[in-house]
Amino acid sequence: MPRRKLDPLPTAAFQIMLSLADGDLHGYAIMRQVEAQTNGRMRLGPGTLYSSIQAVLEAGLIEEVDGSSDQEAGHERRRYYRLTSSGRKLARTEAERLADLLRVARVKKIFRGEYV
Amino acid sequence: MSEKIYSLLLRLYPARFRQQYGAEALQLFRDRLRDERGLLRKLLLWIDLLIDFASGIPQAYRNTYTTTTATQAWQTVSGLPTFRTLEEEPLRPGSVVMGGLFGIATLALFILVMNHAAAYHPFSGSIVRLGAAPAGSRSSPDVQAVAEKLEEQIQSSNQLQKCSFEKLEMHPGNIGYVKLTWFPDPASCRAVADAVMQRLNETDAVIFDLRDTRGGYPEMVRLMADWFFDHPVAWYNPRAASPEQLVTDSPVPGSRLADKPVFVLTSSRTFSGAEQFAYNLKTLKRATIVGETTSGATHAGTRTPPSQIALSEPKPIWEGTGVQPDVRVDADDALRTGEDLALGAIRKK
Repeated sequence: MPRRKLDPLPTAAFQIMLSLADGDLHGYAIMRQVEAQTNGRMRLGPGTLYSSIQAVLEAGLIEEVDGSSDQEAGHERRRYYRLTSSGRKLARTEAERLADLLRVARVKKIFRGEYV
Repeated sequence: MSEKIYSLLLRLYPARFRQQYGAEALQLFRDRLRDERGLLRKLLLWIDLLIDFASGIPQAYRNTYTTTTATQAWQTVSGLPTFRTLEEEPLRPGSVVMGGLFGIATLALFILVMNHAAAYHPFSGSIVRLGAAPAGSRSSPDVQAVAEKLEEQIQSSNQLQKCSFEKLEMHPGNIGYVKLTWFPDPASCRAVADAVMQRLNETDAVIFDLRDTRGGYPEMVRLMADWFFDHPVAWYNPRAASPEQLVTDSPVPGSRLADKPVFVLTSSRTFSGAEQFAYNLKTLKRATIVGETTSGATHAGTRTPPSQIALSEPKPIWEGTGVQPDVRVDADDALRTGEDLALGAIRKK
């Protein structure tokens, strides 16, 4: 299964999944959300964004939802994405993995952040 | 304008990706263009996009697009069964690249095989190596064995005989000996003639036995003579159909015969094309003619229509008189005399 492709989970894919944790978003909103949650360090271009979306979509971590709620005047239909339950699970696993890593970094006095 | 550029760049992505996300990617680009104003931000946007292309395209090609296209197909037909034919699918650039690579690989394999096949063909490149075997003891025994086997092949295949080369031998003292009954048609015997000349390359002197040569194709007469010169020389040809036939095509690539002594054996039976060969090499002081005065034949057997021989003289110079030998001996003794002279010439060198 294409799941292999996401092991280890690429940063872009993880960020996209995180951005969808609060609610459904369309492509551009995901990009802005990722930009915001990384303090502007990660700006996904259309290619990376949609390729990553496709990859996590294929892995069943997110799903497409009908964007009918966004049918404002003059706006064409946009695709919205939602985090699936398995996606949420994987995101949690990934976060825990990173937390473990952080713990080690802290013990080794490489990372001195007090929070997180 | 920039939108156009971007949509062109989007074409680098796989067709499936464009089909799926092309519109949205363009929409996203438009959104960003709208939101990010100012020269610096525009510049940053483009840098972003270029980096995005570099990292996004490989990923886009890795995706399979299976699940989503399936649902999409389902949606478009809304319950009605349809057949999605491959013909309607645009050719993916990946397939084109793979096809190209596969084509090149096949071609390379073909060339490799052909090159190897040539090594076992009795009358092409192998002759060069073949010639070395009897000529000296330089080559290793197994190479020699292969060469001998190939030589057998030559003999058994009758190629030489078919092309009127009655004998191709190495005589004591590393003298190459060729006896031919006819200068054959270059159209069918050029390769064999070249192989013979290649073989003679390995010798120290050459004897052409034309005592029983009835004539032949003037083109072949000259083709063989080409090997004996290191520069083009005027070539007398009463039947020349074009000015090119009045000069030798020398040097022949790979020829090492230009400075080797040549002896031509003649008899009163030496006829037509063979007389032309003898006459030219004698006049050009390239060969020593040993034997008897040639028959002095006309070119009665010409196949060239008269209109095409306008350049030439109506009669060959030797008509009626024949070509006189440099060393006059009986035809039956000509070979022995020729060998003695050749040995002397080799020693003198």
